[in-house]
Amino acid sequence: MADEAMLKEFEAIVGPDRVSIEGPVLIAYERDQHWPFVAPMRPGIVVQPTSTEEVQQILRIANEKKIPVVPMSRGVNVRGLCVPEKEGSIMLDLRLMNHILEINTEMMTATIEPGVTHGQLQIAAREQGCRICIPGAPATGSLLANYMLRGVYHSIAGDGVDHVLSAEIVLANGELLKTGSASFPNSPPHWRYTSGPDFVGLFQSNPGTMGVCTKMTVKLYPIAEHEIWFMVGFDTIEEAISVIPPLMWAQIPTVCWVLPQFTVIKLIAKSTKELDRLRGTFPEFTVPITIEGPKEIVEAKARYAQDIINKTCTPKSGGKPIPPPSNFVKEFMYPRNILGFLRQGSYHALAYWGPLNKYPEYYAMMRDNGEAAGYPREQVDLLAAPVAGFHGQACYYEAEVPYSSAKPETVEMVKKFHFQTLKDLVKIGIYGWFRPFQHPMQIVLDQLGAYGELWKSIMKLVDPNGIMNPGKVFPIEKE
Amino acid sequence: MSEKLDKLEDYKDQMINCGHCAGCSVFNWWTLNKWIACCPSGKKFGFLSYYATGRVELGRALLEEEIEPQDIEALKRIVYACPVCGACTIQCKEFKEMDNVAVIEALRARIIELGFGALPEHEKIVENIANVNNPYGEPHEARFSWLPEDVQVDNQAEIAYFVGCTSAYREQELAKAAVKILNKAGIPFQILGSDEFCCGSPLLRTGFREPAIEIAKHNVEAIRNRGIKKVIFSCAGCYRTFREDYPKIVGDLGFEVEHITQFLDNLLKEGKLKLEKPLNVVVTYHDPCHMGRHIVLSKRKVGIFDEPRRLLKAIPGLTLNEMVRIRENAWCCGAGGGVKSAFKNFALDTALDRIEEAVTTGAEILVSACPFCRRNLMDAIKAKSENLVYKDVLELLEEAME
Repeated sequence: MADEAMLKEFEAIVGPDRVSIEGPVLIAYERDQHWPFVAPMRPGIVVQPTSTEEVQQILRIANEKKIPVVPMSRGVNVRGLCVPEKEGSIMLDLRLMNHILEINTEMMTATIEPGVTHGQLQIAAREQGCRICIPGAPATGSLLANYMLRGVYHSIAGDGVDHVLSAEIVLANGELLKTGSASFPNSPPHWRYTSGPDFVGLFQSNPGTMGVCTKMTVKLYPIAEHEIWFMVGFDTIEEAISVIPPLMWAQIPTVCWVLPQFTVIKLIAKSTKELDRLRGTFPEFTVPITIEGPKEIVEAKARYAQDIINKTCTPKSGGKPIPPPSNFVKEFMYPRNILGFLRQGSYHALAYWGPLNKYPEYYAMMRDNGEAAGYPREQVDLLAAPVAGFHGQACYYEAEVPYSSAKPETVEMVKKFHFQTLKDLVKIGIYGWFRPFQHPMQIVLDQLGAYGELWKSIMKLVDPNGIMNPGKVFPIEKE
Repeated sequence: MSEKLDKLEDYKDQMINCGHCAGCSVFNWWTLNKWIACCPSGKKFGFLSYYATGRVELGRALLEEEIEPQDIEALKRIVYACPVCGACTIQCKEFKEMDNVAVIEALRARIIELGFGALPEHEKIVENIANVNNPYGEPHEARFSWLPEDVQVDNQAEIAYFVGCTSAYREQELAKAAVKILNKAGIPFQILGSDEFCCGSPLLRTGFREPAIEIAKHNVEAIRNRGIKKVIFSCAGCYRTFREDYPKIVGDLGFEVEHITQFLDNLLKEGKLKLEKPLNVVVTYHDPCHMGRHIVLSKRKVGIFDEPRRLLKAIPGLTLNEMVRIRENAWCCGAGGGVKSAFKNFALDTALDRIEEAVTTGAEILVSACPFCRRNLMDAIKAKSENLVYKDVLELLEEAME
């Protein structure tokens, strides 16, 4: 349990202004907008380190005293991942570690601290003629945290899951682990692989449960010489998804999503009133596509893309390219309007990975579940983002329904929808949950077999005292 | 009457639904194409509680009775360490349509209602206003001691100049410039004399609503009794208070209110303001929150951004170099919301940040249109020993008039 003695110890590390046990300071950390699913819990102490060395010292003390540590980079994950599960936890607020340590235009890499936001790095990178792979998340979020959780990516459809090259991780006992080429003597951090296993992958998709990532080197991409943006509308889900694999196999798009009508509207609306006004003004499904590269290649690819669309679409369904609204293009460079997803109250998103060919089945199931929970069918949305070029099937999926966490009746609706849909998704078959957090994990933990057991064992090995954000993947074991 | 002032309960649902998206912590990156923190309080103090999100959580916690007696002093320290500049609200309004300025002011009012009291410096201001009608504790009878003898005041005029406490007692050059300009432009005006009390802004911004209501009633009554049709202000804070707060307290004012830059901008358009004397200077302009963002946030939505700039650009020889953080995305001077009185270092640090930015424009003169911004920005210039001069837009206009 964090206490006055710990306050003194932490003050000696970070200084008196960067640590607090005062209730009103801690209240801000006790919940996020996902509180109907992850109960509020006030931490016992909050500490704001400014260097890796300070993080190491804090973890050594926490480990020795067996006090849980909840790392928070920017606190924008909105899924309760940074809300403590145990009383008296240490909130490790990393927002002051917000430096871009290097932008290397020769190696096309950036090295960043956890408090660096997507928007911050994107703007800095573009000033130097390159760009990051933008996650489908607010530009205010931590890029490091998003990449560690394998967020979904707006802008590189063919390589949509992994842009991390190497990381520096403080383990629970305070030891420092460097991965990839950074671990090799006299080697810079610009390559993911070294002589041994890929440790970055081992630590990814663990929400602060395997250590504290204090530095990350990520891939940058060139700003395209030329780009074409267009949207293609479809009346049916089947036709919308039919165009995706051939486009992906041919490595045509850099951006390629399947968006239901209301998701498009949410991305471009400037007010709640506009949300309603724009209903019915877009096709049932829209596939936004971006093609980038040298002008001649872009034009050739665009012709090829149109051929594919023509071959796979009926005239009735659509398939006619239209230019996207200007805000929509901006959104894929520096996400901002995505914050407007909160306009309808709270933002519920059930996110997972799965194959594109199951989209119709997922969608039908979700609309049924939504209706059973009390939602009009049209309020249940499911978007898909293809993320792998090689088979064009792997997608990030996000189911969205509105609710207000201030209105108990809508909280009950969303819960009913959420828990039933989790079960049904497992029945239909998915690749896995995005950003594991407790409820989705709990319904599959006993079905993971040796994979789950080994995962647990690795966590135990890395964090024998179980201090790292306990309860966010595996349930807390009773003492 | 005070029922129309927002209550904390009015925002309960919005507070519960705060998405912790942090959109309130950064200026509009689409507009600026830069990533710049917008919250002076968050930047200074660091913890989440010092951002709008955190204060919203504190508001919720207060309503849900989560605040323990031992937490009250820390609660007050956090809630009052905010200049209520509205930078967060401009951002949040775009997505959540939530007014953090209103929430924070309602939260402060709730703290006072609950009897927790404000910070000692604020209590002193309340006492001063009660005793001598100004927050500085200066004699009420000295309120117009600055008025130059050669200035013509017309007690029958339909226009009144409301001076405000800071110009009356601390930044008198600004008030002198205002009345001289009106005289030179041939605009008959009157002053309220001993009937002018503090506008109540320091009270409303810090949660002391009851005395503010009494003051508002007094000032409005005094203006109505004189048959005044229009009141003009050189203080952004007084202007905001009359325009946005008074109607919630007294209903329809029965007279127009304008910031003096609006008034003079109209004179300029009508050819009645002659700016003929060249001033070969490079200036940059700081947007006061109370006549910019706070007005944008109102139902009228149009802040006073263009008027002072048009006036400056009309001065022959003057070059206006803009800072990056301007208009809705302006960095606060750091003085407002009771910060200057209770958190002097915080106020100064925020102003120093602005001074640094002003210097990068190559400007010799930092210009603004608010005596309270003037005070704090001049303190920062002095502290930094920068080769930069502060002037109110009125001082430059007066210099440029023959």
